[in-house]
Amino acid sequence: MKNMRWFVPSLTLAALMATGCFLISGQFLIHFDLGNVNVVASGVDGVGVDLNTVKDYSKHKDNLKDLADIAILGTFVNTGVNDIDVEVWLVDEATPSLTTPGAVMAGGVRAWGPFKLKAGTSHTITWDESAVLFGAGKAPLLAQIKGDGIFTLYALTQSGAYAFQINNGKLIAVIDVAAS
Amino acid sequence: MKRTVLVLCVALSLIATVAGAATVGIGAFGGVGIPIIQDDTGRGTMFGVRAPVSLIPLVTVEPYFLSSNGSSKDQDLGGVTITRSGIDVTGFGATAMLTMGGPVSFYPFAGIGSHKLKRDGIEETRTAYSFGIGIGISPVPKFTLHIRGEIDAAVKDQTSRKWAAATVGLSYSLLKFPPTP
Repeated sequence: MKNMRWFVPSLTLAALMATGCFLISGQFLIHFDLGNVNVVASGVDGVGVDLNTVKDYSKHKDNLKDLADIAILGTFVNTGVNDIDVEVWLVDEATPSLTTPGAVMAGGVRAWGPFKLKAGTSHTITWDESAVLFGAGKAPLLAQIKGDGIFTLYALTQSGAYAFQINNGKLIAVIDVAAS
Repeated sequence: MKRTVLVLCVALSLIATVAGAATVGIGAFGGVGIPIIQDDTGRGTMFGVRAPVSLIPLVTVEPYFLSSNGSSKDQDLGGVTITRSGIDVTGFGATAMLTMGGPVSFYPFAGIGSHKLKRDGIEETRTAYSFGIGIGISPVPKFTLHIRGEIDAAVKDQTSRKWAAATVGLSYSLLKFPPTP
C-alpha cells in the first residue's frame, strides 16, 4: 500500500523522461516569399530559396527535428487555353539554371502537386488545400531544410501546351524544434 | 505502441482493483486546451468520459476517452492573413491520481494514452503523456466535481505537441467492492 504513493510521482517522472526536453520544444512557423512566378510557352520558372535569410529558421536550425506542416501559397492563374496540373519541383541548386521541364524532372524531385486549374481561371490556394498536396515531397524538402536550407523550387506542368502564373507565392513551413 | 498503451491502461486499472477495497465510477468532463508553442493550431474544446477506479484512500486509476476539436489558427504574413484548420484529437488512456479523500481534496495526477491527431494533411497516432493537479469537491455522497489543470504532451520522436488544459468534470460512484452490507 505504501509503495502506491510512489506510483503517481513515478509515472510523472516517466512521462517527463519519455518526452525528453519537451518544455523547450515547439512548432514554429517560417515563411519564404517566392514572389511572382511566371511560366510561359510550356517552360519552367524557378525561384532560389535561401532559408538562412529567415530569422526563425536561423534561430532554430540546429535544433530542427521534423516538419510539422508545409504549404505553398499564392494565387494561381491559368493564362493558357488548356486545363493544367501545376507541380512544384525541388532541385538542389542555389539559383535557377534549368529552362525545360525535362531538365528539372531529370535533376530534381517533385515536392508539391499536382494542383488542378481549369483554363482561364485563377484560384488563391488556402493553407489547408495546399498542405495535402505535399505527400511524398515532404521528405526531400525536409532533407533540404535540415541541410543547408538552400535550394531552388521550379513550377511546371508535365504535359500539353501551358502558361500560368503564381502571384505573391509563399513557402510556408512549420518546423518541429526540440533541444538536443 | 497503441497496443502497449492499451495493455498499460488495463494493467493500471487492475492494480487498483485487486489491491484492496475499491469503488468504480463513471464520469464526464469538458474543457479547453490551449496550445503551447504551436504556431499552426488554435485553442481546442475537449470533452470525454472517465471511469475512476478508486483504491481508497490513496490511489485512483482512471481510464478515459477524450475528443478535442482544435480551432483554426490565423497567421499574419506581412499583411496577408493565412489560416490553418486546427488539429482534432481523439484518444484513450489512463490517469493515475494520488487522492487524499474527504469532501474537498487536492490531488496530483499523471497519465498515459494513445492520441490520434488529425486535420487536412496530417493523421498520426502519438503516445500522450499528461500531468497536473486537480481539485475534487464532493458535496453529496457518490458525486464528485473535478476541476483540473494539466499539461498534455503528444510525443513524436524527439518532439511533442503540447497543450495546457483546464477541465471540469463530474463523476458518480457506481459500485463498491466488496459490497457493504
